[in-house]
Amino acid sequence: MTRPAHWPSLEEIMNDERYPQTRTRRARRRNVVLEAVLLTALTAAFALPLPGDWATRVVVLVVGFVAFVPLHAQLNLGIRGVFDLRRSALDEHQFMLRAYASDATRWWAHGLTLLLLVASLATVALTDDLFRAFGTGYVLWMVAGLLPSWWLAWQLGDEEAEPESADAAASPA
Amino acid sequence: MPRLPKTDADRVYNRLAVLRAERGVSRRELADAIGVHPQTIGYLERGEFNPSLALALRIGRYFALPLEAIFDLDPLTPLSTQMYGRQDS
Repeated sequence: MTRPAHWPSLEEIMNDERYPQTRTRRARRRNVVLEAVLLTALTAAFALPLPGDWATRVVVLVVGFVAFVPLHAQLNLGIRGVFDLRRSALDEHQFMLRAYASDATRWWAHGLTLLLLVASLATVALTDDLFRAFGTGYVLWMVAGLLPSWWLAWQLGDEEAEPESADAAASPA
Repeated sequence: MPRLPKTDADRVYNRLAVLRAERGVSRRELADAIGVHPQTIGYLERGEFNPSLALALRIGRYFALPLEAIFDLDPLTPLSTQMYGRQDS
């Protein structure tokens, strides 16, 4: 097996122009909805008194995260990884988008963090099941961390395709 | 500090699209020269993003023009009108 001559950096991957289909408003919003549905289902699988032992829940968690990875990869491509790239890899507009999204969702994220604490403690108090409490808290913690990405993905419009030539690109204002 | 303009009063108008067309510069070439992503040039040209002073100065240096020739707080009149006066057709 031969190794590729050049391993792409995270920055190159996030700005790979082979994936314009992930950078439309429709695709971004679809990914946000799918991630929200998946994580809501995972939260319910832990928080609700559903049948099944802890091994079943581990399987649910693993399957859920296996489904989550490609979804989030697409969402990250859609927003060009502004939350995953280091500061120096972002230009000032991208960094500003990151700051705006974090600011816009700050109180929701605080609320979710409070909810995860309450939900985890309530799960332990009511069921004495530490694994369920951990699972519920973990998924809610993920949602709190994902909120800025979701907000930004929801807000951004379609990207403009890079025009073929400068003459075609620039239209006088 | 760069900003997202919320109102027209908050907006910085620019002539980037005209200058690029005039000089035959693509978004990518301009972006590479001033150290931003090509999509950011689109946000600038559409007036959806106000550049920082440093970025505005880099743009001015790239086009070898003073900032007031590229950016303004009021809508910019066409360069031909500025040079030759009003020409109603």
